[in-house]
Amino acid sequence: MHVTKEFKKKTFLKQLLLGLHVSNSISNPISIQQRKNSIKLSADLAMAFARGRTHWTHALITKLGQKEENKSTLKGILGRRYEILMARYSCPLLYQKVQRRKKSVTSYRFSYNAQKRRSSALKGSCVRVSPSVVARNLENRRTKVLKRLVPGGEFLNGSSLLSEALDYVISLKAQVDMMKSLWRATQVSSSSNVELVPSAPLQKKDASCTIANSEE
Amino acid sequence: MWKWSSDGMYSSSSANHIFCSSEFRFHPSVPSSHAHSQQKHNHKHKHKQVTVRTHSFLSSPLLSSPMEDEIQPLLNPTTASASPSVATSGASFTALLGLPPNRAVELLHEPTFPSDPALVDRAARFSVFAAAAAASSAPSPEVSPPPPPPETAKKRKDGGSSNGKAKVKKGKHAEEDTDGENKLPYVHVRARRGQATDSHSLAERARREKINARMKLLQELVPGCSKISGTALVLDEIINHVQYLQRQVEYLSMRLAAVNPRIDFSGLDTFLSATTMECGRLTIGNAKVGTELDQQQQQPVWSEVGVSDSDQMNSTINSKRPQIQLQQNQLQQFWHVDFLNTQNHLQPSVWERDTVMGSTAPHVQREEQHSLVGPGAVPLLAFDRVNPVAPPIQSNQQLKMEL
Repeated sequence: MHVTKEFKKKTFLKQLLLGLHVSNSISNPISIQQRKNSIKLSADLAMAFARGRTHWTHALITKLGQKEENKSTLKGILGRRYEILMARYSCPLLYQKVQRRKKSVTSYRFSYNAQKRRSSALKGSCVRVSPSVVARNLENRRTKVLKRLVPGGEFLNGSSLLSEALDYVISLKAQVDMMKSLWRATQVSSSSNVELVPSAPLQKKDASCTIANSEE
Repeated sequence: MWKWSSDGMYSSSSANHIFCSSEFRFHPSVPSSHAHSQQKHNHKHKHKQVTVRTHSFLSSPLLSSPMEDEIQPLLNPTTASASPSVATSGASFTALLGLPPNRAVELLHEPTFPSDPALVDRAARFSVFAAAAAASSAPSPEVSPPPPPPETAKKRKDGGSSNGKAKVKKGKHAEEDTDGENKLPYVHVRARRGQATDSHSLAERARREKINARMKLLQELVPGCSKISGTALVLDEIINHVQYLQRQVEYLSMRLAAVNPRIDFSGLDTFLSATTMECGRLTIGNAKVGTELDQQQQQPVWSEVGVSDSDQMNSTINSKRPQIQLQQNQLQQFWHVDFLNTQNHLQPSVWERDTVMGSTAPHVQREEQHSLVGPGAVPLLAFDRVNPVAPPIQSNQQLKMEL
């Protein structure tokens, strides 16, 4: 796993720098916010591109592709795959899925409210909900939150949601590590002459690099 | 016996595997263990996965085949309903033999291991859990008779509850549409002792086990989650972790945006090589201390060569020379050396050079020459943040940025 993660890091970096290059060249973003957004965009896209084909990568790319200002960066990073993806994952499909899911959510809510109403009617003023319902409720709430967090998660359920979340967490970690190393790369060269270069920046390396770091 | 001696017959195509297994059915006189070993011996070196599967229906416990193990985490339960006809067959792997031969060939003759070992890793872990779950259930191995037709298998399943032990196999057909590489569909679920053998509850149990296995994987991944018991709390932790990672990405992108004006990304591949080299060097290991020391001695030579705006780099490098003892500084200087590589270097060549870690002297000298030649080295020196009067080499727009 380490070997392929190395390889993916290479592609990630390449794509990231490509994206940054593209975003730098097209416009002249003045504010830091804009630069941050463009960097974040390139990073996310690079991550999604490097990861390959999974649900969340497709969802992320389509979500980012729907905004107008991102399209050029998308084109730069994805290249010819951009057109393919845009053609395949056009809006209507997603919209249909959203519609379907909304129905199921409302139906669930209806049933839960009905149950609550029934229990309250039976037992008077205080609503006593059975513990299984409580547990289920907690779990469902958290599942909903997770669905919102993971890109494309609203359309998944159960074990597939968990597997996508797993994948997403792994790639997020890799992304954070890559950006950290990028940051440190910039830090290193810009550190002053006099001060001792701290061991900290280079000390912590990507966890997925198979490191034999003796200093740590 | 003559059947098993000829190797060529069974190695030519995968279809033969099916035939040999079906032939095996019709020759019950052949002792199963012997055929077992023979089969194994014949096919072990050729199609290992298939071999395991072809005699899996004989005596092996569930989830024994490595391919099956990989594939199971990727099963999508939502698509299980998409193919009811196969699902209702009810039989396990044996139903494969009932399928039309081309389909079975397709299923059996899978491509090699998926290119993403992350999945393999997960699958391995999943298989551990699943195997543990299966092992905790009915312990006795089952030696099934020749596979009955699917309908009777189902009937047997329903009638199996009459015994004390409900040992039933259920096959579920699920397809993976995203990853075309991992395609095997069958989930073998074994009912535990004293539990309902209803098809619904079996399906539910399989689903629950899958979910629990994934939760375990997630628990391992998210730090600090292994001690927590209970699904909701673990989910809480996972959510927190995902939010934390996303916030970190934002924070890092903000930091990079702050640094960004000084970076000229036109020297793209050099930057890339620099950062990837960092990773690459660390993966190789920090064993090459001696060689790096040599390089540092050559550094004054190199720095004298002088690229424009070299005084900055000289100062940074000369200051770092006293810090030779720290290996990290060696890495930094190395990094500096590489950093001034120009676009003349193609990225793969740099990568290869780094990974080879070959003779270091020509390594440095090559860079010298290139640094002389390349005009692209110059803009990178605008990178130095310490010296605020860094001359804007290439584009003025970065200088307009104010921090």
